[in-house]
Amino acid sequence: MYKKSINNLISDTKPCESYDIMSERVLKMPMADETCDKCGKCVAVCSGHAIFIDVNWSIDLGKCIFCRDCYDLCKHITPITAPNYVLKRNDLIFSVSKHPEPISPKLSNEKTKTLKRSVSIRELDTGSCNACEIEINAMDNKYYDMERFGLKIVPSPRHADVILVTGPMTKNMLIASKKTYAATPDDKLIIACGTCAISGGLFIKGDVVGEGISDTLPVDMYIVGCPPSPNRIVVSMIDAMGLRHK
Amino acid sequence: MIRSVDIQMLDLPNELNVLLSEGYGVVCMYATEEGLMPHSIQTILRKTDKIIHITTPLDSYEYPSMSIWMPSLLPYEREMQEMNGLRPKGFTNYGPQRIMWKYDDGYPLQKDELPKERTEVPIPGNNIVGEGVFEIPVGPVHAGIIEPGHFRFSVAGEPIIKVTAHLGFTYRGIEKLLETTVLKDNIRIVERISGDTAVANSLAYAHAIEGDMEVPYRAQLLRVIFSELERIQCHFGDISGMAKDTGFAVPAATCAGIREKILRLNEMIGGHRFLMGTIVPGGVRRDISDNSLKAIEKRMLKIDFDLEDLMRMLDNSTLFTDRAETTGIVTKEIAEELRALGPTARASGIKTDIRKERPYDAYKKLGMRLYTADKGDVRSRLTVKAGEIVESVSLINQCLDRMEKGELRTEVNMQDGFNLGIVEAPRGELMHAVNVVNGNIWRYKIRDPSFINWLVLEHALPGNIVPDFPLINKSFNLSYSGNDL
Repeated sequence: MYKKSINNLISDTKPCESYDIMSERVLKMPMADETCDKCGKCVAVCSGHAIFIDVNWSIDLGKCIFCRDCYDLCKHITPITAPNYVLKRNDLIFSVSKHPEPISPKLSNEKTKTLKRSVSIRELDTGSCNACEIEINAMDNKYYDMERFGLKIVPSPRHADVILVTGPMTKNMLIASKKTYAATPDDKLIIACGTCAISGGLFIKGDVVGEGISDTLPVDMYIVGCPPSPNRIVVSMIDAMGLRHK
Repeated sequence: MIRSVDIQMLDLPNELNVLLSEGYGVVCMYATEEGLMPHSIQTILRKTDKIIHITTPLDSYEYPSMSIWMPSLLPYEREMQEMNGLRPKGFTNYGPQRIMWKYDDGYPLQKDELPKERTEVPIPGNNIVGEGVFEIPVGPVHAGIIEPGHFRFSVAGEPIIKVTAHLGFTYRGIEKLLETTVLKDNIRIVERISGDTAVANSLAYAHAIEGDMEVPYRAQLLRVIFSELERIQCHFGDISGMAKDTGFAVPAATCAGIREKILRLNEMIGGHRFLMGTIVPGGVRRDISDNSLKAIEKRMLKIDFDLEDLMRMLDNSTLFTDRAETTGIVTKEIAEELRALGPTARASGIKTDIRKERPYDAYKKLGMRLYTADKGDVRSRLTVKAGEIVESVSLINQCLDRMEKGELRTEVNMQDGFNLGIVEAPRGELMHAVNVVNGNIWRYKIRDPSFINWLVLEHALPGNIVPDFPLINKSFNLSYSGNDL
């Protein structure tokens, strides 16, 4: 009986997707085409205040919540492939003249010198809505199975190489976040995961500290998405730390 | 149907007693700031589909405490004290509920500009002393990947004597934010109150804005499909967690796999893994193609079989049964007294479900069975949740059968006055109440089911051993961010 149940349950699934399949599923971001007349209607409709018109039509991907309101509004705005992650906050600002490039930047050797092929991650929630947590939990399921790439969630900050931070850094979590940072051994990497952690997102006027977590913790890497899907978190970490070629 | 009445503070306790004996239960109690008077207390009571909305004007910042004889009001009185500065007389202070600091002069929800100065409020201990009694502080950063919350366990050996949950670490000030932002942005904020309840929250918001208006039939059916898909993925996550916490890895991994499949189905049909941005006031945002409807039908067929195998595996495991049975018992008396909600209440034998009692959208036309259990332990909650998955699958199939082409949304005009949206979220009855003045939101109140069920959890724990806490906590599956707002 027991055996039959297990056979039924695992018969139709193809677990453990390869790196290539995972990196094929990309995130789409809005981008205006060359003929955009800069009327400014999309600026008014953008809930995250991500779109702004400077010299050109520009978008701050760190503030975008991917609600797709702008696609519905304007035919000039079309989806293009968004980057999975960037290493500097300013690299998230794109415009008509500066499209995202299909390269995946690597963290400097200085920062990854203590990492070999295994990376221990401590997750830190600073007030997120739980969607990011569910996605990070999903990294452990049979489709993504991050442990085969050397990524591992550890229960204590003392064992961690990486702190994966979600949420807009609420004032109530400030002390706990600083203590978690202090408890992690040196040569640690801080990853801001999701729109809230990058820029504060929709809660920027709420009871939060600054714009995103970068005012409190020194961030090394920003993973884009609201929430970022598990395959892109895994792929981003593999790419940035060069785990495949070590 | 909402009946609005004005009752003076002197008569309120008597009136509440009378209504309680008639079978009404308090859905929510909150304070609104009024022009000349300091505040008025709004009480919402419900008995099946009859709703009473009581407005009680106050002439000072003090009022006689009612939670002394009516324990289900306790969280509301604490909340009003902290957020609005209303002091209940005869009320024992339980320490901070949401915020770990205090303004020297002012309160978070006041309409005037907030002062910059604020002082920290320390988290109080349990104050249980005796030989061999220890206090274990846990959190806010936990060992697993969960949201932040601080717990104080008083233990004598292994068994727990008392637990207090100190939450509020994810307090983002959403209620205040909803009053001040542009109306069109509110739906995006509401979706992000609690990530896995995005549909239920946006649906409750939509109902609060729509009032009595009916949305087109196709939109009603799609709303039901989205809500039930969310319930299925949420409950599979719970079952996965429960199996994981007992160390039973095969069902845990299988459930996580099924959840992932549903999240991918969500992405295919709604464009978002948690179905954020699918529901708008007046209907739904986008249509679903016939191919997507077929994909849903196919997936639903498979889920029934998967669940059957899964439950058989759990039933046949003596190890799992040993951990789950008689663990974390919520008696029917406690559940009634504190007015527990959702699967927690149903596992203790209370027949409560908004979908049946006060049907909204297409639920009016669909048939559904209410799953209850009577023991109130972890096992009962598991059976109720498994039953609800079966029921959700049946509801989705009914919707697919009735699906017809038609309009997707209508124009909505927000009307002045009081309005209410109550829906059944995966965790229980979720309420959004809105007071509109001159076309602007004056006060927006959200009452997540977790807000009540955290109190029930504190009553379910004493007598159990500390290692069972994660299991019991997971069987409740309470939202931290929904509670904190």
